Amino acid sequence: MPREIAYKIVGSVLKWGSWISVIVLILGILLFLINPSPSEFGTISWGKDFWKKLSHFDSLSLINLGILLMMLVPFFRVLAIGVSFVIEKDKKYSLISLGVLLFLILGIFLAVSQV
Amino acid sequence: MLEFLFIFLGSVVIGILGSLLGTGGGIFMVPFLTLVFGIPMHQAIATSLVSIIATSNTSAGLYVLKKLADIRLGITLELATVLGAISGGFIAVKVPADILAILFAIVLLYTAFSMLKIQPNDQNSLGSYKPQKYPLGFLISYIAGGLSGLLGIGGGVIKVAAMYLIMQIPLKVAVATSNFMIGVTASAGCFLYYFRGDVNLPRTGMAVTGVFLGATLGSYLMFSVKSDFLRKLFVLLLIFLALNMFFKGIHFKLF
Repeated sequence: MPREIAYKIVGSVLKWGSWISVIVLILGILLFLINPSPSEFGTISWGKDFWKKLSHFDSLSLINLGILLMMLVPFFRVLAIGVSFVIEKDKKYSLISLGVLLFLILGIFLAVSQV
Repeated sequence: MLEFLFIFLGSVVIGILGSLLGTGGGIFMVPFLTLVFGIPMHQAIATSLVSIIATSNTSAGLYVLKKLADIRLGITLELATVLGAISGGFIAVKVPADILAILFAIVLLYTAFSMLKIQPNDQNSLGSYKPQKYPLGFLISYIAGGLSGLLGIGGGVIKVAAMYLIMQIPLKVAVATSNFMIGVTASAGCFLYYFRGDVNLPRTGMAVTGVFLGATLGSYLMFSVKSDFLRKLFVLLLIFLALNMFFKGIHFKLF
């Protein structure tokens, strides 16, 4: 039974995580097509400005959020796998999942520190 | 504006191809963006990595729900692929685009020959199994992860070959597990490109949405398309792309 739960949790994270990201992306793309703003191609803006723009339905901020959510789905997938192994009381694979999660966090940390 | 439409439509086709072939589609996405649209190599790699996550999420979700992917084997090998992808990403940002194009051409050729070697009929043998030679599997997974971060591909063909030929995993399970893994590998590599500002937002948004829709469509077509014919077509396409990428790398123009 616990294994059934594990497969369901991981499958659901993959399915719903992707759909939420794509819906945000489609919304951003539609707004971008209506009103293109070429000045900000490729720039990543964070902090108060990012959330402020997002609250005003700025197209590029929405696309940015959609891409970021898509990039984070695998992270939550590994988290879901780890949780399901904990539910199964499988110590070995819980630790392996934790290791992968820590490596992913290390990757993000190293990427941020490069900027 | 027309460029965005073509990127979207091309990405839908890549999503379908990737899904039918059991790869992330990165092997097609990077040549598509660099050769057709002249997008800089590092930006194409960044877009490709995010697209691979989208394809992997779609197909892996299906494989996980069908219990075909071996989650235990996948998560274990991910220890190596994630580290490989991070290393590959850091190397890639220091390597000139021409060298990356030549490396990409070599990987395209390797993929073409691997496809000829692994016969689709082998997929029938699905029974109980025990993974063999973990250390070698780890080493090859690390290399596959490295190539993913370096070139913006999923590295699925290398992972499948390692699991099937070395670790003695049934091909169907190897393909499903590889699909499950490539999203995590791509995610590990793409944050570096993202924070460097290599992710062109509108283009990547179009590509990811297109690939996602294509992969969703492809997962329904998967059971009704003759895989042998497709496989041969893909091999020819890969060789054509390999030659083009190589010529791009050495600045040689055919026409």
